[in-house]
Amino acid sequence: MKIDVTINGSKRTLEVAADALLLDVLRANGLLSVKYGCREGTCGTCTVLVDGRATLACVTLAGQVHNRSVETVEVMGSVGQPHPLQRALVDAGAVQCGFCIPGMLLSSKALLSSNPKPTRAEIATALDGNLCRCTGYTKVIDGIERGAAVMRGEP
Amino acid sequence: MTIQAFAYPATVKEAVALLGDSSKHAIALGGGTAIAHGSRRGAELLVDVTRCCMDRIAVDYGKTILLGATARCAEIAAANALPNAEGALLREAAAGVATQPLRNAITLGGNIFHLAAWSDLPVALLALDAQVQIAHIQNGDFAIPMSALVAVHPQRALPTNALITGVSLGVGSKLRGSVYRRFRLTTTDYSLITVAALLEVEDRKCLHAAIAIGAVGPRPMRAAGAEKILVDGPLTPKRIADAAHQAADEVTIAPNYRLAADVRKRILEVEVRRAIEIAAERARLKATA
Repeated sequence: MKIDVTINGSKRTLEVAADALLLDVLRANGLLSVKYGCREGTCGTCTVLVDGRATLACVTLAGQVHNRSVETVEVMGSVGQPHPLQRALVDAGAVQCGFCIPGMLLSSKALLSSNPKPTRAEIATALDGNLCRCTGYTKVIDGIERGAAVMRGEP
Repeated sequence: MTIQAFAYPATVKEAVALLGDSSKHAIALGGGTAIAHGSRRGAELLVDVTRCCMDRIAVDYGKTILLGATARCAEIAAANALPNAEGALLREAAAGVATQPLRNAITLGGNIFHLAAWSDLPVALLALDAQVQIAHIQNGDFAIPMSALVAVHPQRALPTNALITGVSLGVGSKLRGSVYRRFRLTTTDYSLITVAALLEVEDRKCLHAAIAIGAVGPRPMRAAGAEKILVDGPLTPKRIADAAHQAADEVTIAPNYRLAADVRKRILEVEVRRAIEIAAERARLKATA
């Protein structure tokens, strides 16, 4: 079946199997930042934004995003021009193996779009679906807090 | 049979017609988290009902809370306009469901229809004596009490191809207090015990008590015996303790590899007692506010 979906700002028409997972469709279309982790909705490494909401691609069928917009971390910045949140996580020492980071970034992006000055508790809640085996989360929250301040234009 | 196609109806009427079309085995798709993992019941057609304008969260004349079936847990958790103890109970139940991305996906209707032992919203709705609104191609629109749905399981209580369209419940007196408690091993774990308590207290006397217990058995239950102990009497520590003990005795506790039934029963009594105490305190604070 065909679905019309806006991926990272570009309108696309994709041919997908009716029972295809969004995770598999995005990866088949080159968006490898969407990770194949647990594949059962618990680890958060497949987090994407659907219509601005943090969504687990491994428990979302591709057909559900017909006529919706999907964002992956590729839309957030580049090596040469990182997004303030990406810069902040690196500066905070929050990136070790890096596997959880795309999901963390997108969950944070979703949070800050509606709450530009979250408390640490609100950041932790927004990221409660993104597991990290490396860092213990403190530096991730430090980084998001700092990145949010930069996004607000604070020094 | 594997899924062959999706349909995207724009209205409830279209959705009901698609679900009732006997030429295809169709099921409703809300947030999709249950269906993505395989609970597809042999469906050929998925009817995406998230585009049928069933996502409202509203209060009618200050007296009735109306929630659409595709309202997401995250939206309910953030609905500060939902009034009184009833609104607070719904928010508290919704705010702790799973994790943020799952709260963004899980719908009210899906959480009811795919009732699992650990489902949260049905427990709160049971305590709130909610009515569940149904649309069906042959039976038309009707309502069924939450208690009737969970007595057997929504999928057995409802006619084939019925569509849950929403929930309604009454807003009670401002003298009510409520709480939703969970016992689980981490903040995002499946709950091992849940308790929803709603109390109306005036001059230390309990006028109304609703205690719903979930996660200990396959379906949520009201602790009617415990409620009877509390109502029309003073809320003394002994009465509360007796009610908690009664609740732990009267509900069916299923064996579970994560928590033995006898241990779960003891923790349940503690959780019910705490729930009554907190709901009563919240009611007291409102009365003195």
